[in-house]
Amino acid sequence: MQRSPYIWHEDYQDQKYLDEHHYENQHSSFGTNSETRFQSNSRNPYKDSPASNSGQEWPGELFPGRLPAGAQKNKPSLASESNLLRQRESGLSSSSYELSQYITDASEQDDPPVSAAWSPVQAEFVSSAGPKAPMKFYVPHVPVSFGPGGQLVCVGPSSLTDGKAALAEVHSMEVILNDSEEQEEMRSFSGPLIREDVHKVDIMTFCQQKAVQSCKSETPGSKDSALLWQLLVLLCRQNGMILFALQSMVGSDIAELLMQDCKKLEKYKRQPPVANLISLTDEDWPVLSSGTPNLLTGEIPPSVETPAQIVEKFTRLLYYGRKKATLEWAMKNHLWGHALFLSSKMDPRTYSWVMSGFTSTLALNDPLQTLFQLMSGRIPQAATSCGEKQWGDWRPHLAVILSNQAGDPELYQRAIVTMGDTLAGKGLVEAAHFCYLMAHVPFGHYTMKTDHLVLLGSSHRSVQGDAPWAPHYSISRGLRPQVLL
Amino acid sequence: MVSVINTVDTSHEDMIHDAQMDYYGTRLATCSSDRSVKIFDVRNGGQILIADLRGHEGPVWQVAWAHPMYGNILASCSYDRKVIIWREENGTWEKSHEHAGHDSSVNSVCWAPHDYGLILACGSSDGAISLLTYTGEGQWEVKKINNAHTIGCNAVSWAPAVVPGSLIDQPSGQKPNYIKKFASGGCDNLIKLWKEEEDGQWKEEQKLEAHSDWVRDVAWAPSIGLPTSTIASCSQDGRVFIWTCDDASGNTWSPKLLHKFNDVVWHVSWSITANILAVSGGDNKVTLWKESVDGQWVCISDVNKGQGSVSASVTEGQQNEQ
Repeated sequence: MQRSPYIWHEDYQDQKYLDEHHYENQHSSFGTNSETRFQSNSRNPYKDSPASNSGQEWPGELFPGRLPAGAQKNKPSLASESNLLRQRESGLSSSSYELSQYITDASEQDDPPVSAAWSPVQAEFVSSAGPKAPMKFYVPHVPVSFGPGGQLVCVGPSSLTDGKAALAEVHSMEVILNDSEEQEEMRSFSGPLIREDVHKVDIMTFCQQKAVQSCKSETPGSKDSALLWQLLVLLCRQNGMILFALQSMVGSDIAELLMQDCKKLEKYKRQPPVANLISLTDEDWPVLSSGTPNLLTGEIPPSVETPAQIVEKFTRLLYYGRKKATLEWAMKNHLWGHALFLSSKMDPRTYSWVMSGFTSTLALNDPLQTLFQLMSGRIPQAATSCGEKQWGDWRPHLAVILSNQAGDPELYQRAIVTMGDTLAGKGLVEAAHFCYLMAHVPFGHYTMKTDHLVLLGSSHRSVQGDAPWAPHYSISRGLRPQVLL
Repeated sequence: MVSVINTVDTSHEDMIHDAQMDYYGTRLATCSSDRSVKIFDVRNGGQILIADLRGHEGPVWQVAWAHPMYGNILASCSYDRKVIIWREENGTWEKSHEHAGHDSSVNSVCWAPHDYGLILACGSSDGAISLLTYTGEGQWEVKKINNAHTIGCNAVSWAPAVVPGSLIDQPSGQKPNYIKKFASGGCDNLIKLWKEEEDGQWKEEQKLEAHSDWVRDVAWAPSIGLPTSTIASCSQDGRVFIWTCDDASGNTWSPKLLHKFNDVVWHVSWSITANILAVSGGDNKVTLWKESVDGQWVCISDVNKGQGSVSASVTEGQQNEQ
């Protein structure tokens, strides 16, 4: 390869010497603070200084390759030292300084002794070059870039001081970030999730660990995340074969999961039976008190009645064929079995009247209510009210729905989805996602705000983005059901 | 724990200005003020010099590997105003093409996403940006954007070829319509975004202003398919900004200050998955940054920690020489 006639190639040894000389000077003038080497704002010292290397821009000092070999009159080392000091002490930023190079008078560039040392071609190049460009890098710096396999490449420190061992270092990002929380999580994760490579036991163990972790955590929603993890364990165990619609028995596995923490069955307060608009008697329920004559029979009921007496009266009313009165009496006295049987053999309207009378004695948030409402063909109250503190735990409600699926599967699905929506609306993302999974809601897309479920455990609708799940964590949870089911 | 897994003695005789791994991580290219470009085989912790490329007549500022689908191709740019494209043919590296269309130092080269073809953007101190497109049979077509930045252009970086949001959008079945874009940083303290129009001309699409001094580097983050575009920029003013654009049309960019350093910041570089930014500054420290869930950028590592801080050794060196 033909070497360029440009002077830079020649006298490299001189240049190298000057290089080193420069570094020394720099260090001695600047002391220990490397940061201020070129950052100080300074007026352009070059224009005024008699020793200035006219036409030489400042950074050229470091690269004496720019320096014509024979130009002894420009003692760069001494001049540069004083100029360095001046540069440092005045106020111009280095880049502004570099800019000022362009303002340098063109005539200053033609140095007769210089051009004598150059061939005509070179002189032509120099004079036609116009203002010289500033050097992109005029001080040692550390180039840094990433490699494709988790590497970080940077130029080693030693090369910056003596310029001798010019080392490029390849770092491992894994080691650099060794102590980060995400790395810990990554290490404990038995991925990638390839069917052939990963045994389901490993996945189950991982999910179990996560569940335990979640249980221990006191953050809101952590109990529900534990639930999601345990669900994944269950799915693994059953190889993803959960057929809700057909086998209620399998649904009951999930219910078992839901109920595991509900050791103490909540006591759902019984309500007094309420007046019903369908009631054929418009009067309120008469208060059971002694001395008040029964309007129909004229009898004065005794203050306290034994169950036997209640039934006896029930029977007696029927002797007279007074079914409505009979039913009212039975309902008032919580003789539900009798009331329901009788009304079930009467017209449907009466029957539903008695049934609602019965259910009205249940607490609004009793899971029994939920089931009965659903069985009666309605979306249960629980689906729109759960998640509230007063309402109580949502889990028994879902459990009772899952284990007793009959009738219209579409209704059941809608009920569960509605429940999920309600929970999501209250910010209980994990709980909502559990419901969606039960209802076989398909995973949707991040950009579709109407989609229910995108990534398990994260809400794609909130403005802030996701709940604080580490990215790989979310991805792994999102992928699993797809992989396994 | 020491994080260095390989040390390559490049034997460069002067300052090293860039070090880049190729697409597969098997080769490392370096360039220096000694006017050479060197290529090393760095597989399995080794360092075998494959090529010592001479051809530039001034300090070489940057190297860039083309996508391997086009072969083994490396571009380099230099103070000598030239861009050289080197190619490996039959096991030897040779100069394949030389572009001498600039009037001043060429400071930065960057290959476009391979989906667009073999296209190289070059930014120069003459203020122009040229785009070299390989048209076949050793021919390169040149398009030049004159006066892209007054005084000079220091860095160019291409936008990824993924349409923002495409990873998670409903697959529509049709081929995405790429809009070629790149970012440039210049001595006018600006970052400019350039877009190719339908007629093939390049137009300045956006001007991002936040720096108070020369922009030294720009890096457009690789895409992971989310609907945001991100650009990192660093400057002589010591600041590093992260620019994000949320809407698909790419019209509103907002800067967030990553950090204000005490010295010039020379390089910013994104990890492959775009979640970590490496920053290298005048204090010769390399720091790694990541965005936390609440949107703040935090420093997750100082690369030199544990191996002897670079600035400390430089300081000691200076003291010794006094």
